[in-house]
Amino acid sequence: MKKLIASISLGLERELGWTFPPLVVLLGTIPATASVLIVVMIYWVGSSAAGAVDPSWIAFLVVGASLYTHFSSYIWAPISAVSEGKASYTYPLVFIAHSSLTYVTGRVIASFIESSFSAILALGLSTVAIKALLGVEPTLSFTPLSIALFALGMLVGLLAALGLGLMLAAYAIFVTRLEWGLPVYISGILMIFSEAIFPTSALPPPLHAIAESLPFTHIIRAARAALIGPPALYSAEIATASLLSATWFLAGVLVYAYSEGLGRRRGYIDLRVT
Amino acid sequence: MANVEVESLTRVFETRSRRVLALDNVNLEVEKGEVFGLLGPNGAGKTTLIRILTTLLLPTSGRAVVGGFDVVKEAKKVRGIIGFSSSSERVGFDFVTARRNLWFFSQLYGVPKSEADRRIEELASLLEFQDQLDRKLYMLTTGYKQRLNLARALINDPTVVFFDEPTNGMDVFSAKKVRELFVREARVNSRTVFLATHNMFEAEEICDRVAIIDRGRILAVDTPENLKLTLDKPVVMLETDVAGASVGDPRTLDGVVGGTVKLDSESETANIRVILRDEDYLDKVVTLLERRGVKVLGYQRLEPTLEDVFISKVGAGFAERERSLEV
Repeated sequence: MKKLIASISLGLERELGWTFPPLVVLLGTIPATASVLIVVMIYWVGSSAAGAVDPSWIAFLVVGASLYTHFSSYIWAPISAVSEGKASYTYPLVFIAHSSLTYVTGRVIASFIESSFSAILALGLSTVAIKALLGVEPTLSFTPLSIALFALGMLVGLLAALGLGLMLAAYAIFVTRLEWGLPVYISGILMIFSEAIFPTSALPPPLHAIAESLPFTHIIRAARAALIGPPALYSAEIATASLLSATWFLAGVLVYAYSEGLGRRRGYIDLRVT
Repeated sequence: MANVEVESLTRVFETRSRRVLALDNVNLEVEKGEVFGLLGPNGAGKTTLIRILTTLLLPTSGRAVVGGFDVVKEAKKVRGIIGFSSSSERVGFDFVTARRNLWFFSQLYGVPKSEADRRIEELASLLEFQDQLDRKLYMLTTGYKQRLNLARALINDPTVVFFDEPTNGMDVFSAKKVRELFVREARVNSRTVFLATHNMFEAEEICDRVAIIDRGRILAVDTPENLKLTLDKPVVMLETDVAGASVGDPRTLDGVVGGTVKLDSESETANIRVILRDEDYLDKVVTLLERRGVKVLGYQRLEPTLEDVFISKVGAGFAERERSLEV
């Protein structure tokens, strides 16, 4: 636990230390708010032309795009911890201290904390902006209970993102160049399959099956159930999301541990990254 | 009592196109409280051996034990008792202060908070960077970063501490301080200091024993004095005027065991350091050089150095060996 707290603390310093920390959180709201406004604007232009603007669809997009941006903004943390850590030699030193899994986990949690503040701010900001710019009020219910259920979804998402992140970090052990592109490709795939901006039922059956196996799909659905409704959907979706997230997390830990062993055998742990 | 034991250790790196034998049947023992030097040119296998001993790399075959723990079967226990610092590393997290960098690593090793705070102050005082502790890493000069790096290697109070080319790129004064620290850590705190270096002076000055390594093989292990005593052949420095002529490889001169050539192309002079089979070959070497168009201006007998011991075993100096590895 001591190692984890130290890693979270260092991660926060690393994320926020380059300037005034509250400014980092505020800057983080820009891409999140912009993403939400972009998809809402596209929907609004199309639906206005057809004369069928539906505020519940806008709410659907606000929740999906906010959470999707939230996941995307911290999913890169594990690959950065390993890749950048190999360039700065901190990763081999953490490995020698027998703490690399804890360290990567701590860095993800630190990134999650920072991103959560930005995501919640962005959710509020974009709701206000949509009302001001488009004159439409998304049908979102902000009550203590709905916010708590939304936050629980984010926590389950942390477990899923950690599982996916550990798999990406496992890959990062073997690369010799800083691989910043990979999280972007993964985010792109998530955008299509996680029901961030359209229902997965719109996908052809095989792709729909893939979407249903992603924990993020169910987390976003649970968050919508909490903030938009119907509330009855929440428990089933959060239960599925928790089960899938736990499976992903376990798979991530196993893949990461195996890759570290393989990396040690082949001499990749301290191989210089440029 | 041996704190590092290496038996028949071999490491092979294989790619699709080639196979490199980085360590070839290495055997070593290093005692508690000893400053031990691993001396060899770049590419000799020093770093590979340290990578295995610090659990960063697995051996292909053989056995290595650090502090009584096997580096393969008991890696976790080995990691708890070692420290490691490499000159090639950037030292930590840029946007974090020197103090917090040290604190972070102390926490990974489970050092209690008050103990960690005490050690950070003590190490910063020993390495003279107390006034830099609260500055962020990117603001520190290279020299202070190197000191921080050494402090980090000692933060967990290790039984065995590995340093890979620790004074590389350091100014003379800082390097002297660091060497004093190594000796102090061995004598006062009974740590085993395992040092990989290609700096002969460093090895001679502070190491209790030195292992000479080349192409993954240990050529000799002893105290620096004994290693030099084993060289019972004369070492001669020939000052020459080359004036367009080529000295060639000194080993091609009859009676020369090995040697190095330091050419000054501007003045067209060269200092040729040779180890002769015996004193009688000196005149013959001078004659052979003059036949190649190299004029010998003078010569002097020299006390042997550790590099001469290396040359006597492989025929070439560190620089020539490194060049041959680059090919």
